[in-house]
Amino acid sequence: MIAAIVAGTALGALASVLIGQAHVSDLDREVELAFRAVKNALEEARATPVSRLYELDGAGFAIDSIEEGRGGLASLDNDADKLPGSLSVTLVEQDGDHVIYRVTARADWKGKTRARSFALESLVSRRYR
Amino acid sequence: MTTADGFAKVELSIGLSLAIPLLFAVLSLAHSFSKADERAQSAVSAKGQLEDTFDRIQRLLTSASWGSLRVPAEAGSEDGGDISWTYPRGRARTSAIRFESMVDVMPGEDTGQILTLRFVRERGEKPDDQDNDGDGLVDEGRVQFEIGPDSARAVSLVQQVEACSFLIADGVVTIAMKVAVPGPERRIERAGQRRSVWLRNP
Repeated sequence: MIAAIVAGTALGALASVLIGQAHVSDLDREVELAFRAVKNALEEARATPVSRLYELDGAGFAIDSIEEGRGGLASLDNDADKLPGSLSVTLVEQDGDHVIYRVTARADWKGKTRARSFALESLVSRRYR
Repeated sequence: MTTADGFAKVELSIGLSLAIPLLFAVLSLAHSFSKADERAQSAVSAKGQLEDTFDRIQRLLTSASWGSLRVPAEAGSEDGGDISWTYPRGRARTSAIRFESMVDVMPGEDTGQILTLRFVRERGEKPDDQDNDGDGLVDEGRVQFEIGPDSARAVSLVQQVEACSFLIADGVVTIAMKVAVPGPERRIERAGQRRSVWLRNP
């Protein structure tokens, strides 16, 4: 009886560790996908002329994977455009022609275990060549 | 059956019948952890290779200059003339891009070199989603730099690349690349990523 209880507890602990490890691995992959997509979105935002940067406010972007057999990230149920990525652009400072915008690229997705989010932001100004 | 100074045969046989499956279970678990660890190492290696390659490409592309170069002919020389190194434009997905690098390709190299970044498929492999040469990798090749307007020198950047393409749109180059690293028991670990690089100096 005692042996059965000990064995059951050990098996339960082992199963819990394995399940936890699988969840960490899924989360690791999800965050990596989100990080890369958000970085790419910021890079594309930087390429947009500053005069048109405001047009990106509220724009969504997909977060997909090019690895076979592995899908991208799914948007949250209440996401209007059904795209897990979104950009927001806010004016930080304006002095004549000199403007500074804060661009935030954000990922909100339905993770394997629960909803997750990740965001990066960057200040963007006019480039003088 | 019970002796005063030891275990009975029944006790020993019950103990052994419990211990042996448990021992097998522990050994099997240790073996599978060891395999999983090897696979994880291959996967990390594939990801690391991909990241390193992207970082090197990004360093060159960020400050790349695009356009047409006019090399004036020197008096008495047959050399010179217009060299166009910018291709392709538009939104086509392609396997090569050409640009002028504003940083050194390798330590000691001059800056301002014309570079072609190209995906070259290995001999014996065809773009048919099949492993034609039987090494476990599908349609693999390498990504290389070709230095100079006539691509006189080629420097391999990364091997075991199963796919690589470039998309140029609105001053941003989007590179999609998949690398594969053979792991234990002929298992192939793959990593793929898409990275966008804004050309700061088009």
